[in-house]
Amino acid sequence: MKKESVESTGLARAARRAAASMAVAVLALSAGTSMGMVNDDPVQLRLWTVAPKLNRDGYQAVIDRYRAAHPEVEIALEYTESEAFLRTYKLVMSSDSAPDIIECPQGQSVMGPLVAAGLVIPLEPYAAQYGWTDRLSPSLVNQARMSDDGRSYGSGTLYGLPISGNVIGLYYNRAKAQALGIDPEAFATMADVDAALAAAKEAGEVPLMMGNVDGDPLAKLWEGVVSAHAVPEAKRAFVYGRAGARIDTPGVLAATQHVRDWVEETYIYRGAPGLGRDDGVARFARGEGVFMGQGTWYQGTLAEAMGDNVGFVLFPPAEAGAEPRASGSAEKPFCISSKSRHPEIAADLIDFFGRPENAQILYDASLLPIAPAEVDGDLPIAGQVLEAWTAVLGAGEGGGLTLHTDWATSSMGRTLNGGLQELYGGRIDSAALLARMQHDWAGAYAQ
Amino acid sequence: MRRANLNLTVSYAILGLAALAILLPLYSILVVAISPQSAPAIGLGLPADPQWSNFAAAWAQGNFGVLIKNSTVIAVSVVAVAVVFSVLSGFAFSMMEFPGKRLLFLPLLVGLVLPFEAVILPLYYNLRALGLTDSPLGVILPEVGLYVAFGTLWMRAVFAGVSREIVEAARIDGANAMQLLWIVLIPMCRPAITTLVVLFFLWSWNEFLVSLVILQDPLQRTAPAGLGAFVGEYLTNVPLLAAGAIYVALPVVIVYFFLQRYIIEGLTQGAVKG
Amino acid sequence: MSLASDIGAARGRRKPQRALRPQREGAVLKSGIGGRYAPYLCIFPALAMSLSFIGFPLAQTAWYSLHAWDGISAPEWRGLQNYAQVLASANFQQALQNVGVLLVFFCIIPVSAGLVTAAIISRRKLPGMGFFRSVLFLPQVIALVVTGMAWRWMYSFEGVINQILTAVGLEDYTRIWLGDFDWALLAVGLVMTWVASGFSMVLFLSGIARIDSSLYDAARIDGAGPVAEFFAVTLPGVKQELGVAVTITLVGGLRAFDVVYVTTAGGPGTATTVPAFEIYVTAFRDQAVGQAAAMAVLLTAMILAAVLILRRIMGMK
Repeated sequence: MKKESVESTGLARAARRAAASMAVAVLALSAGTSMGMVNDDPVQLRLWTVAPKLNRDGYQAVIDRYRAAHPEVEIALEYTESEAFLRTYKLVMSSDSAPDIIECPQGQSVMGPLVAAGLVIPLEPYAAQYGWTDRLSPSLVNQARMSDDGRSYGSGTLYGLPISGNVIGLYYNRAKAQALGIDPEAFATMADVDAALAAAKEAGEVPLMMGNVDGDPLAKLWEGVVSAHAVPEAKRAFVYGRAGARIDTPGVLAATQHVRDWVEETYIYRGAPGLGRDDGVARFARGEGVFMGQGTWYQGTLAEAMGDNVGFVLFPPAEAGAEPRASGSAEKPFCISSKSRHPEIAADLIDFFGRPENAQILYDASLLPIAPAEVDGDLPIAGQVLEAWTAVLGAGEGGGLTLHTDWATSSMGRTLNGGLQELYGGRIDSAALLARMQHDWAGAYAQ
Repeated sequence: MRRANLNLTVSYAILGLAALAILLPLYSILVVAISPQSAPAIGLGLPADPQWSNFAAAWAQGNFGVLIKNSTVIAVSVVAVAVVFSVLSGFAFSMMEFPGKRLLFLPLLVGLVLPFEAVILPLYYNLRALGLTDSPLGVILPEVGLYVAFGTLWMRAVFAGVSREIVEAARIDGANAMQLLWIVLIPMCRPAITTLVVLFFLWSWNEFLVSLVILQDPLQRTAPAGLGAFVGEYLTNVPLLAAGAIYVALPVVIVYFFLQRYIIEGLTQGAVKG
Repeated sequence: MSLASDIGAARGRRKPQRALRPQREGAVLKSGIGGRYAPYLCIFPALAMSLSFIGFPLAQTAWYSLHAWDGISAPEWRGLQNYAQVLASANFQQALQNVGVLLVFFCIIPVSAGLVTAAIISRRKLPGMGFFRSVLFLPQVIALVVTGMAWRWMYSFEGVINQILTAVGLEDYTRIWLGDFDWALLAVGLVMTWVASGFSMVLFLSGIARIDSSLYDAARIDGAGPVAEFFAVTLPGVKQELGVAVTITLVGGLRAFDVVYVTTAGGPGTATTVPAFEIYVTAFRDQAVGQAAAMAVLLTAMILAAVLILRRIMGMK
């Protein structure tokens, strides 16, 4: 009830803002060349996001808070779903109607062209001013660093600031796990996961729910298993495109074989190859399947549908005692358009998003905030996810985040997703899949 | 007599099977749309307790009213402009002889075969230079540009099928080109033109890529593009998605059933002895 | 005034041989009507729109295809390298092979089915024909996003197709249609057939409506059955529409990416990818505009060639 009324006022606000900005545009047009008028305009910022509604409500809440302190700044939150975003972001960012702030996926293929074309500005001065690099986890912030030609990332100039992050882990249905006598929080090694899956199958349950027509859900499961088997540094080097990096290491091979074994044991839902990604998540949400290997971006959706019946743990290491680690990354950094008329205010807003005092808002909107902060979760899953997140961020030298493999090259997603479908179907073996990925990588970094 | 009965049975059997194959997937969407959100239907049986409230929920959350209005404005404009242009050029290519005829037909042929993805990026840059992105015109113009190719080919074929005596009779009566077109050809070919109207309307309504790229503003979006956004938002609520899908499909289905009465009228008029 | 009566008299006098070679009937106004500029005035609006919004952007695409371009920065000249890469790419080759198979499903079957259903529907005024006509065209009316949603459910593991197969005792043939390397292409093809058949049917219906009904009367007096009648009168009478139907479904199928996009996204592996889907992925996911442009130019050229060959075969001018 309460939520709906908030939403409708939000809509009304958005409509009013749209009307206001249109009126201003008309005014500006009729004013012709009299640029002197600009000073009298209220400051208007547009933030372009691909975050789904659950997360976006949190963004809006942070924005409302910012506006309470800065009533002279008008901020419009504009949304495009991510598939449509990828089709249009270059066109939009190079147009005169570019938004001031863009939430842009890091890496060569998406952020790279914007950096190379000078369409987003370096944020180094602001990083120094607001102390981002001292305050925030370098393993997250560094993902928004790029070489100025946009061809490599992970180091170089800072072009954005991520305000949240994600990890891939194992969701589980609490009631089902309990009935089977499984306690996922006690998983010490992957052998425990194997045993739990076997027990689920034995009991006639679907051990792992998944819909894999689109190809990426199996890749997410694979990423999770890889993080259990492989060394984080090696995988990061591969994703960042560091010279001499390899994916066909014994660890990744063992992980790939592990996934293949699960396929052969029919632990994965039999209908997976013909089921849509979202249909698979929906089925798990409705109570089909004991486990689902996926990213924390589904946390909010699942919590909403399943309440406290859903749990989340990281994949345990293959060998007991290893530091916590997970395939995960910073969420899309906030970047500032070079066409923004108010970059300093945009930077201030971005900083505000990343402040510890706003972490609770983001967290309540199912995001994993970048700022380490004391936040309370009202649902058990939220607490588990946060625990996993802080554990991974705090682990080891460079943190336990191993990034997502599909970002290594612009075609890696397809090579991996399609290749895994072929692995699932028994068309290729694990070594062949990794060889194909290495070949893709070598082609992209040949120069 | 028995043979006629057999023919009749075979005819109905073929059509019945075809209709069943067509309706099954559509029916399954309806079943899903009215099934409980906690347990979406997977079979063909109607849910014991149909949840018609899903439609109200989808309407409230999906902004479908605006989407449908936007699609209507665009589709109606595209139909009006593209049909007139197609009739004119189809007339010239079928009834007139002029230097450069073959050469001038070639660009239209290209428009007929071109995959829209092939031109979408330059199209965006060009429209932006004209200040037409985020405006219905930015979608209307390229769609007209694409559809006149088929329209010309279609009208050319239709006019070419008109019997020669009629055209000659009109000429003997001293009709000029425009009179021939407006008084003779268009009334005669009304069914075929109505078909063109329906096709253009459907194509425009269902066009996905162009509106997605050209129209960034969610308040300007067309219905199918808006459904894409809706899917992204409510991904696990399968019955709500199905209800949204029905909202996108329904207006155009209604228009189709309304307009096709005219087609049927025109068709029977033409089929029964002239 | 006399014009109208002439038309009335001329109507129904259409001679059979005319129907057989309608292409001869074009261009009857060699001179005298409308003056020298009339043809150009008539074709100008359509041609101008087509050139501005299709022709010109296509030329730009051809230019991009000679460059390495990410969509924003200054393009880098690459000559024909993009073409060489595209032609050598395993994915593009697979896409060409797939679209060759799919041709049967988006062109040959829909045209045949459209012809048969149109012939049955318009043969006699039987009760229910209006219903069938309306229903068979329905898939053309529905947005493909919606169609894709429905078929994914139909084809799923517990979906309707497998339920029906089980119900009629063909359990051994149940499978995960869209995820099966051997069957996914066929499954996608059937969706294309489902979508495209109604379109051909409507073309043929309006074609048959313009056939002189006295030809049917004559055939019936000669004792022809429905099949003989179909080959003697209907088929020759809709030759023009047949050409249009084959052309349109062929072109529509070759250039379409949306059925694949909404059902399988090209998978499993690359089992159901098609050239237009490759263009889409290369341009919008791989962000390699130059290569995508090269694919687009190749695809456009191939479709154009197919249409020209087809028109020669079908005897269209």
